[in-house]
Amino acid sequence: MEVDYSSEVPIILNSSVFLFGTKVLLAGLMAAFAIVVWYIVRKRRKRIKLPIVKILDLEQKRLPRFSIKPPPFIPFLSFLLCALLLVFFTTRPKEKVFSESEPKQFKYHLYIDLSPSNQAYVSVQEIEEQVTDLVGQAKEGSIFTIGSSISDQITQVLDVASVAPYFEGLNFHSYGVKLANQLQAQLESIGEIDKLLIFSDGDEHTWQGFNWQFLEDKLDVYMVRGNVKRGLRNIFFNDVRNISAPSSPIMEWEVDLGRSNEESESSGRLIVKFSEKEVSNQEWIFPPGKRQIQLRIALNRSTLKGNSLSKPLTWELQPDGEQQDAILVDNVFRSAVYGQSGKVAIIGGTNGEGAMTDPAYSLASSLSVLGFTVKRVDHYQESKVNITEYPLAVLLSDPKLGRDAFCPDRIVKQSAEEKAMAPLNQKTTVWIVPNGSTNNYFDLCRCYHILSKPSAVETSSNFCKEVETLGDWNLLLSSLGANQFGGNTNDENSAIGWSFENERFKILAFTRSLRPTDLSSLSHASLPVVVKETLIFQNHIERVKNTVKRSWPRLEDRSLEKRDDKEFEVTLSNVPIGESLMKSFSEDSLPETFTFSGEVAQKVQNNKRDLKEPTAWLQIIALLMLVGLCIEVGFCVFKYLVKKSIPFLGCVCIVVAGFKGYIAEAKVQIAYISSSPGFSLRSLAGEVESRTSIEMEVTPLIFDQLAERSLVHPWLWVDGVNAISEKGGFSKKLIRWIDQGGFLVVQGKVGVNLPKLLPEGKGGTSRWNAIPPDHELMRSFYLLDSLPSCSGSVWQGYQYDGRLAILVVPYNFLGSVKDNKKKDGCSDQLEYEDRVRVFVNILMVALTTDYKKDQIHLPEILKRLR
Amino acid sequence: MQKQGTIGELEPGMPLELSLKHYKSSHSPGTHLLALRKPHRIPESSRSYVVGDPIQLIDWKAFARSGELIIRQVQQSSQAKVRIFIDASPEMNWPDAETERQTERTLISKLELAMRVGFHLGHLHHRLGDQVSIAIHRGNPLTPKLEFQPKTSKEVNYLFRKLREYSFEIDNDIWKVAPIIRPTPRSKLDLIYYISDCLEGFDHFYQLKAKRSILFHFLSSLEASDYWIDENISYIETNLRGKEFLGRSLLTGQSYLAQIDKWRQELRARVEENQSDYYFMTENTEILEYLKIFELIKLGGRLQQ
Repeated sequence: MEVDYSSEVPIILNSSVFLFGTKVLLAGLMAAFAIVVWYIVRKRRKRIKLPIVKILDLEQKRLPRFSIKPPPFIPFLSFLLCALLLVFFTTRPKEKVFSESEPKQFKYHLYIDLSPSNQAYVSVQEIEEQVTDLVGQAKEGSIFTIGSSISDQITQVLDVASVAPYFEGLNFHSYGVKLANQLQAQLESIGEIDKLLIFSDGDEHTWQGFNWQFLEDKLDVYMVRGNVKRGLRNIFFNDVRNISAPSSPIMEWEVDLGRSNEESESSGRLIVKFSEKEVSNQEWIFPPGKRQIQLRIALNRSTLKGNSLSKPLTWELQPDGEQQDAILVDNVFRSAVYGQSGKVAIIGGTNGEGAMTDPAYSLASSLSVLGFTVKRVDHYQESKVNITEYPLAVLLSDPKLGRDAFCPDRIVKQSAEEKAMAPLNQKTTVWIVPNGSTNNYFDLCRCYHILSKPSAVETSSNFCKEVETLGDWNLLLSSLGANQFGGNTNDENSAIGWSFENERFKILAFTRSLRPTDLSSLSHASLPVVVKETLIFQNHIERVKNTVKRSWPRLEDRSLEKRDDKEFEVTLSNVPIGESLMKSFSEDSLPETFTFSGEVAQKVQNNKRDLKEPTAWLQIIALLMLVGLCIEVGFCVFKYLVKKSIPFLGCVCIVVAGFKGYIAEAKVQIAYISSSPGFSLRSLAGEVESRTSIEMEVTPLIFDQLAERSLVHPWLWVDGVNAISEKGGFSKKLIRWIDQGGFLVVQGKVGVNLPKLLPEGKGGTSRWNAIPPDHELMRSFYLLDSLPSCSGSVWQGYQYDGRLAILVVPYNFLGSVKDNKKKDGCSDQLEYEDRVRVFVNILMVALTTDYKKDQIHLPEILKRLR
Repeated sequence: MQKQGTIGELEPGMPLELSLKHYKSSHSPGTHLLALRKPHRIPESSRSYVVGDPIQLIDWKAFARSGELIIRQVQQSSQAKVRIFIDASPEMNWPDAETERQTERTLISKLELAMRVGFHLGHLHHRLGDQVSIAIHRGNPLTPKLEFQPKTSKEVNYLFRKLREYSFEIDNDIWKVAPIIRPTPRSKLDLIYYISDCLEGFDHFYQLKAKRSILFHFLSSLEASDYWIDENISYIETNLRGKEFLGRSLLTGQSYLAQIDKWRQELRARVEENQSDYYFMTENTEILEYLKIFELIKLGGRLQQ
């Protein structure tokens, strides 16, 4: 979305008050320290190394090594600017400034906290009304999403009408939630939003660990809380414990009740239900000043039939009077029914009833310890017991009474009949246990055979007749496909038993007696362990163990229990103690409370997240810092160049100027202002090159008038003064050209007006003179005797600034030296050779001025003149 | 013969000798004067005739004047073993480029001065027929960093040029480019020159055994004067530690010059106590004075500075 900063910046500038927190102070201190260090470095006294001072024996005065001098202004200013910007950059606006610009359409997310503690303050209906109001008041186009603590599902509310469907069936739940976890998940799924409204009571359990201030940088966080509806006195379950033995027919329960207010007396009833049927009803009373009471409740185990996890014991508190309890959800507590490990039938093998005579006494004790209800049967055939009614049956062989006592064929027949009637839910585990001392392996073999293969009841088990020893018994079981249980897997004879499973029975044929004797190598201590491990191996005791040890959960945070298989337990979770205690955070540590009328509502409407985009400020600061940097760098470079490298600076200037300059000519070329057409000086150029080291262009540059281009050349020929004169004298350009060293040759008669046209000379030395015989023009290369006059006009020269600046030739001299020359009266006074010589001398004067007037040349000149 | 200028401009091989008569010849094989004088035709000194002296060498004219039999005699010289020790300790490399920049003066360092004079001395003695060796050390002359014994005076010139190419830094790989460098055999010395600024002490000077020892005490002209010292600038012994004085305190009552003079006098006294010679020079010392000193040393004399 495009954001118009132009309307924001001036407003932010108005809020010139900043919070100077620790970071700002630190940045300021660092800047101050940098200033001090910089100042020390700048102020350090100049020091020169002088090794000989080591031999001096003078008193060393600890004079300050720094002299106070004003620092260089520009670098210091740049540094100060950067330091101030750094401090400014680390400040934080004290308050948000909201733009008066057109409000935009916001995205709201409404989070409904339905945790138990919120029930004390608000009802679901009230929340629904609040949401409806908000949606109705919001500017058209605002987007609302709703999420609750029940699930992470987000629902979008388009208008007021779509609010009610969301709240249908919504109610407070019993488990706890943590806002930090659940809101994080919801905000991630929603994406970017502007405002977050949390409908909650601010209790410690729910808000613990929720750093809502972090979200404030990105969005506005508000809290919506209701008034106290049901009072602040809450009664709840602290704990419910079973304190009876697993095998005890009476289950004793200890119930801890707590309350959040201890001032007055509270009373009520505790009702225990199992499978929706009331099994106990007891009164309880909180005396004044007491916050906790204990109740003891005895339940008859027989009343808790239908042992199943889906049927926990339900404890319900029913306080007297409706207004006594703030939270209703925590008046229900669930606990697992445990201690019902199941029944076990031990059949056969009876020699008596005491510990010394009954071979199954220790086994029965071990099973009782594990929570089993033991049914002791001496003779199976004579009794009416049906082992299929028991999850576990132990068949003890009895050599005296024979197989009918412990494993008659009736077992299989009964089983088959029941199977025909209705399929069993579970298989019966059958342990076939030898007597120990006098084993009848035939009976054991026959028993195993009919159990493992019910159809064998109608046939005889002849192979069992061959089983006479333990080794035969092990070998037989192995060959019948039983799996070894216990012992060394490589040694069949070390097996404790052999297991086999068919559609009706889980058979475990032990190879030794389960009586603590030397023969069975079992002790009274190890027997319960062996029994327990065996039951675990057969997956029989695990169910029992879980039932015994597990208590019904109190879910502290719903978001951590997202597995589908936990859904059942989540729904029926007990209320966490933290919710029941009703402890809330202080107002200061919670977000601003949202109200639906007045200023806050307006504020919400117009609020903009203007602090989220500091780009404009960053750009301004970066620009200022860049300016400071450029100033300092420019200053340093300038200082260096000026101080250290003026020649270099001059070269730079020349190079820069060269970009706009003209190409320097290595050859001499005559610049000629004339109306005459171009002509060739080939023969003259050849003479010049042959006689001197000067190269000369064959064709002169012809200009029809005085122009900027013509003044580029160091010497200039012109026919008459009309082409170069303006009203009142020479043009200023020409005067400046002469002043800069230009050499002008004027051809033809100029008349008496010449002096008026000339520039003012320097130092009073400027004057017109006829060229004297000792002039440098007469000696610059050739020694000339005279210069030819023309019609009474002589060669004149204008001495300017100590040199010959203008030469007036009384006739067309260039015309006399060009190729294909025409006859001319004045120029014909001289031979071609003389004309060339005069030209060479003029050329030399133009290039070298009066160097031939140096005294060093004088002797040679005089010598040649003689 | 060029005798103008200062010793800061010296180079080995410059024609500066006061006298040409001592050039290497059959009569002058070296600068070491033999104790025994020999009767000779050249009237250098004379003594009374002793029986056994050659009669033809009797100065008859003197006999005619004085009536005494006079014999002319000369003191002959032989090849001397001369060793020149040049101190190249870090302080000798001052004034350095940084000091030149700070003082805005173009100066030569004490090390360069010592090298110029040392090699010039070596060149002179070699031409006079002496056996010369030069040892450059870092404070301890007994363990020189660089020592060599030139066979010819050209070798002196060559090594000097090489050293100058490397700005007289003996830590450079001058060993590779100066194949003439060779260890000097340890032998009894007749004459040693010890060139140093003595800032690191000169106790080693006494450990050098020779018939005659001469200390050339070199300081920079900056160190020997105070006209350039600025009273607002600090002057430090080294860049890292050591003494530091404000220029104002050095100039107060000319304490700096007084201390330097006092130190020099103490040095001179200690050297002369050991029957050695002490000469103080800076790069501004004139070549003429240097040559006088050399001539006197050659003749066994001593110049009182």
